[in-house]
Amino acid sequence: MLGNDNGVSRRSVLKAAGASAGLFGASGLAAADDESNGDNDYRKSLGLEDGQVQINVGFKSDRGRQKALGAADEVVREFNSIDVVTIRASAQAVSGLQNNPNVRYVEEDGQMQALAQTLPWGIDRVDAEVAHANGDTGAGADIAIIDTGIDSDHPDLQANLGKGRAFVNCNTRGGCRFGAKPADNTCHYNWDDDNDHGTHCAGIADAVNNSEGVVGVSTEATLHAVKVLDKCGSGSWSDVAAGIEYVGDQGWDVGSMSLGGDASQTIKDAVSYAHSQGVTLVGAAGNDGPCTDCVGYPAAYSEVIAVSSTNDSDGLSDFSSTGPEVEIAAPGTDIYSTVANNGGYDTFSGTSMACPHVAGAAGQLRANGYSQSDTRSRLKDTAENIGLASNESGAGLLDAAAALGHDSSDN
Amino acid sequence: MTLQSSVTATVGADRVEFEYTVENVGNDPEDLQFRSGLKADFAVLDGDVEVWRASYGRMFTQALQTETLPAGDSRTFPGAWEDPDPGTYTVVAELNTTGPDAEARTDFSV
Repeated sequence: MLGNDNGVSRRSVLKAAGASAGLFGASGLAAADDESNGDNDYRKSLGLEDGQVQINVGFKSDRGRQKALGAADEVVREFNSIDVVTIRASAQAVSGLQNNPNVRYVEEDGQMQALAQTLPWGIDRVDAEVAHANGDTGAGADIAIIDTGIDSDHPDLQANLGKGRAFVNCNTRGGCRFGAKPADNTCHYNWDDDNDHGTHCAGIADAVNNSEGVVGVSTEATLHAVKVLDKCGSGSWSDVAAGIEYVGDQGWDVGSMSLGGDASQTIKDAVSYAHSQGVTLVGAAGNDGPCTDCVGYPAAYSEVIAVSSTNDSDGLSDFSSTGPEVEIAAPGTDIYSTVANNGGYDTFSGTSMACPHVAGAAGQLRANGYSQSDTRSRLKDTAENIGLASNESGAGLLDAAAALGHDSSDN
Repeated sequence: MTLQSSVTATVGADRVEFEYTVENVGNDPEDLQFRSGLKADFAVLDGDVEVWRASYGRMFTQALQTETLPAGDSRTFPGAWEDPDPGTYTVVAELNTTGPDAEARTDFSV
């Protein structure tokens, strides 16, 4: 079925098949049914009937074109300059086309996974979608992601990106002392994400509410990339402190710190300064669990809202650090969000993922006029009791809708 | 867990280089679930006193990362202690995972 003599080499066709998994092979019909039926939202959005597929047919000659048009239930597109038509047809008709010598290829149309927005369980659990439905977007708030950077051209984040500042430069070359692999991303800016972690946190706090990927707790706050951690996910105390100081200098509303380590007086000084400048500082409690009285720094500093992590059963995540400094809990196990790798998505776990849920909610409150201190108390006053001890969850589980004054009883 | 670990110390002119190796000596793959951006750490002891730690002065991402170590495979983590004072020391290396720490240690002299 694949021609070699009409400008499309077999190699490039196979390469395309590998990249998109969209070409029908010899057993393509079964695969087509499985794959396209696997995403019913996508099929519904196209209005496809059962047993019907939308395909691109590359033809070799006008006879091939006529064959494709004849097989079509509906012609979706005829191209002017390339020998391709996009049609809807039955699986049976597809089979006939695949075996036609005048047809170069039959390819399933569409990027199924990119056409529907997923509501990640954590966003749902903290009822951020209730806030969205009531018109709360976080617009006007400035949220700094103090991390490994943010993917500057991620389609689910780009519209919300504000400033970027690098205290360690983006660099996707080479390996890592601590063994991690840099992200497959291009450093368009020195604050671009070469790791994935910062982009993941950014998406949790504030991914765009659109027709693709995920949605954040805030959806229209301005995200600022403050890159203090390198491609391997590590940064010096001085770089971290410089990033926190910078956020204080900017007077931004929220600083999200999904990072941790031992106590550092320099970072403590930076945290105190940023707090004095009005920044709502949020930190990951740490992943040393199960453990008691083990909250890491900077989360353990009194200026920082320390966030522990829960799973989708409202239990404490087994890795979550606990202690008297924990002020609130948020979802952190198996969180789906944006990554820098090819502008994609991935599932990560950690108190790093819990932290930006709270940062996004803090952004919502700051956008609605809550002061630094009122934001902190409001988050805690409206947190939901999920039956965990106070050193495990502080005031309870984040409830973004309740914090904003909405009924969140849907959960 | 069927992990076997070892650490070597190579003393150079102005630094000591460490190589920490963790091998899966079992018949099944092992998942290593790292707790943070810090996957493995080195500490140098002078008697009972810790005089140097690789992770000192740094902060790390707080997301788990899982790697599968196939049966028979090993994973190596490098480290280096710059400008050491003369003396006799012990280096202790361990994984930062939710599972076993696979501690290894060896003595060396500068």
